[in-house]
Amino acid sequence: MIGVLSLCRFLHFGAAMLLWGREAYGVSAPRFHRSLWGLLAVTGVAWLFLETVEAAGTWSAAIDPPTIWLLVSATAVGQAWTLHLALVAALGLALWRQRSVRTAAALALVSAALVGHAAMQAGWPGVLHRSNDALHLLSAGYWVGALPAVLAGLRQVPDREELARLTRFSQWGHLAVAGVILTGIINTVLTLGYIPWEPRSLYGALLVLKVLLVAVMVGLALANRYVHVPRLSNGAGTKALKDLRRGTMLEISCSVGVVLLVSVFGLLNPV
Amino acid sequence: MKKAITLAVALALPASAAFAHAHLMKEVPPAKSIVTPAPSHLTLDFSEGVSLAFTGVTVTGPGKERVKLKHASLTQGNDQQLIVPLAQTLKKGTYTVAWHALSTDGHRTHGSFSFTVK
Repeated sequence: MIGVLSLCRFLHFGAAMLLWGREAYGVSAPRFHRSLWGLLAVTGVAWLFLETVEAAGTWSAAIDPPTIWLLVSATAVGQAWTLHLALVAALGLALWRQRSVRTAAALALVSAALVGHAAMQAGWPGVLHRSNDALHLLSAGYWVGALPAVLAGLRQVPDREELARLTRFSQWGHLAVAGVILTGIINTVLTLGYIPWEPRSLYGALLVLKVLLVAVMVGLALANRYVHVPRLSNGAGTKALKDLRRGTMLEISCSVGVVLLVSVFGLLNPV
Repeated sequence: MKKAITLAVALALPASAAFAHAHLMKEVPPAKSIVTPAPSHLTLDFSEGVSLAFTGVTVTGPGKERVKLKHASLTQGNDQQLIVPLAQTLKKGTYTVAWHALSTDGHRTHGSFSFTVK
């Protein structure tokens, strides 16, 4: 169960982050983005079935409409996910009409914070936790979701249009990285109640592993921005471009690991 | 090195031990207690808010028979407390309460405890 649910979460978060990141980066690929949306919708609905299995404690619940309806209508997690699915549907409409896609992608991503550990508290701590998690997803998606598009943009010496996109990404990227770190720390404190300098549980261990991967990513991003980019205009163009590509590729690999980890430990008991 | 060892130990933990969110913090009658007179209802306090639709108990008596229950409810203004009224008076003997809960953030937990009516 935990394996299937983790995989579903990984694909769902991955698609949502890519859509928001790529739209914010400004890359135009309507067909590919519609395919990503398809993955987002399918995994979103699949999650509803899987959550019904989780809630009822039996696999047969997944094909029992009254049980699914009970989850959707009468539980906090079901209602939150229904709202999320409605925003995913709105993103589909936006992609189809090619209007307000960026806003719709952001809303679809942040509404994922309404379920999971960010929803563990009630009252104002709950509002704080959900808002913080929403910002975490938004920052992380802006950064990580754009990386494959950045890599594609670095295939050859970027033209003026691509350079403008890269420059903007690099400027806002500073805010996104800082946002990821800050909201990540707040999320940890609100979920665990302590900073896991030494992991005391599987949850803590996987979280520490995720933090280490993010640290590597921050290092790679800083090297890209402050070592390789300045070399681009210093006559070392081709070599610098190659280094940038390699750094970005490594960043992408780490980010896949990060999303995979959070897809798993988000289901574990945070102790 | 210390971290690597902790990590290795943590990774070796059984998955079942980690899949848990709304834990039972307190129950009335308390686990392993001997009570008199027989209780008219059970009260279960969880560590997190729960959704009533997927939260409940079954009670089995000394002869493995299922005890009849009335509809369970959550305490007004406190979704962490489940109240289960009993539809019958319990006779002397040991009763086992098997509970399951769905936390508001969507995780299922279950467990059991028993008490004795004297």
